[in-house]
Amino acid sequence: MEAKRELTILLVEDSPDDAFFFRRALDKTGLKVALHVAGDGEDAIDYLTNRGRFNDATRYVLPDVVFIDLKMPQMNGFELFEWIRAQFAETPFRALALTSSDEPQDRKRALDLGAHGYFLKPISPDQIRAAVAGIPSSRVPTPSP
Amino acid sequence: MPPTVPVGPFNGLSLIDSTASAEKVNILLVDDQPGKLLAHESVLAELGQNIVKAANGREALQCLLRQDFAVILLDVNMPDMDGFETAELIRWRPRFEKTPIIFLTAYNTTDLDRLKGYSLGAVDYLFLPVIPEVLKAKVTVFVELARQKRLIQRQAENLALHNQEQTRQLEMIQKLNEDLQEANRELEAFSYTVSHDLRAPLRALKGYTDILLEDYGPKLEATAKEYLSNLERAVVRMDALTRDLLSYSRIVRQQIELEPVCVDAVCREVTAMNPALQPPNTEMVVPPDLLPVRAHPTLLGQCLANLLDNAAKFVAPGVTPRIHIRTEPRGDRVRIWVEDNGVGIDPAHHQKIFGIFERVGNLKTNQGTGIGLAIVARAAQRMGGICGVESSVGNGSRFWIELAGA
Repeated sequence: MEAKRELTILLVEDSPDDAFFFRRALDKTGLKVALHVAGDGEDAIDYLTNRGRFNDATRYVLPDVVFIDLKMPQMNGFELFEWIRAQFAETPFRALALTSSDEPQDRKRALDLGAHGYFLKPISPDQIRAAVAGIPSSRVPTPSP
Repeated sequence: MPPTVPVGPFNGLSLIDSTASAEKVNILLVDDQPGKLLAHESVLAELGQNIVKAANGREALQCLLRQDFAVILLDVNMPDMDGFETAELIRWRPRFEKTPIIFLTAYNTTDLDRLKGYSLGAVDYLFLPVIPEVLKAKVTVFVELARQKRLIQRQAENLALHNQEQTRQLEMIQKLNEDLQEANRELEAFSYTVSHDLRAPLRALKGYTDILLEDYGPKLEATAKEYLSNLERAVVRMDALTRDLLSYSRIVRQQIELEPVCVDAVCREVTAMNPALQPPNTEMVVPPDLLPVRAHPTLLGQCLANLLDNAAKFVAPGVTPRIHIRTEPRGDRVRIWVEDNGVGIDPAHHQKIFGIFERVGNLKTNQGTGIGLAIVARAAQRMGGICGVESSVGNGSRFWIELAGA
């Protein structure tokens, strides 16, 4: 049996309230997840490249899923999607948009930039479950014996 | 044969009555014999114009330097410089190239030959001794011609001024239009930003209220719990308002293209998204043979979502909403009808309800944002259509949207 490994989610979100609601919805899923929060696009890049406050590579591992808010100060979600697409030949995680905008052009732009999904705030526990479902087996956490 | 310049008495029709035609014109008489000058002057005095006399060609040319003439009467037989020579010098000046000249000549073939060969401008001749009626008639033609020429010139000037004014007004309208468009863009951007940025704190408000109720509800006193529920209701309503404002501003901003759309498919989609429209909450009849329309699927969906939602919402207490969708061909257009068994709307309010923030009905029991029908009206308009309602209190409502057929 494979070593037990919990799921890692990176939430890129500038609003502490929205981050709080996300964590609460996540708790309700009952999933065993390590959640890390980055405050904007640049912070997320620090995480993904283990720089700055995220330089501990053993703790800040490559996430399985990244939820990205679109409207953020400094580097916004669209720019982060662009960076991810330029950085990886094949994105090694699920990159999902999590936004309050139901504008069709925002949705299209995010998907065009490589978003694997688009969620409207507030996200529900069921939506989080659906978002992480079917993560490749080698990365899915094995249930405790 | 005499030259073919139009002669004969002027028919007396004053073509244009205006100050220009009432003003006097100048007539120049050129003759070396003072007696003839006097005789001709007295005949022409009856015309009431300014008569200027010159005793020879040189004097005549000097007169021409000072003023314009409607006609020049030129004696052919003058010593020193005769009439033809004088005429030639007059014609040299571009300004007088077209000034009509009438030659006065004795019946003399040599003169007539020279006259024929004379090809410049409007020229006529009179035989001496002059018959007063003929002299008057011929001069009158040219007087009238000069007046009309002056009139046309003034009209042209007026027209140019008018055109100038029109161009200026057009420019002003264009400028105003640009300003208006700019203001519209700003307003749209403003409403978009407001709706968007307002929703973030609202989401927090709603989130924490929910959490409070969920985690601490059981521990709260009944009154505290009621206050919290009131707070939540207000937040939900405000969220609905901002959401509707956002969809309204989106309809205004959105680029749309029309395509053939199945009305029944759109109705089914809308129904599937809203449990209030499904049994047992609502009885809905959507015949499968509805006519297709030329529409934007999303906009038509928004229209029908709002109309159906209203139809299900505004019913008397205890009544199950019954909604019937029909289509009616009207020439090359199609009218989509949404008929309900609701409380109905007083005809006095029919115009008003399609405006933004207008709401009719029982405010205590029926909660709406007042934007729904404004969205319907605006979306119908953007799709090149119109909408309306037939209803009276207690008899249900029949809302319609009319679009091009597909």
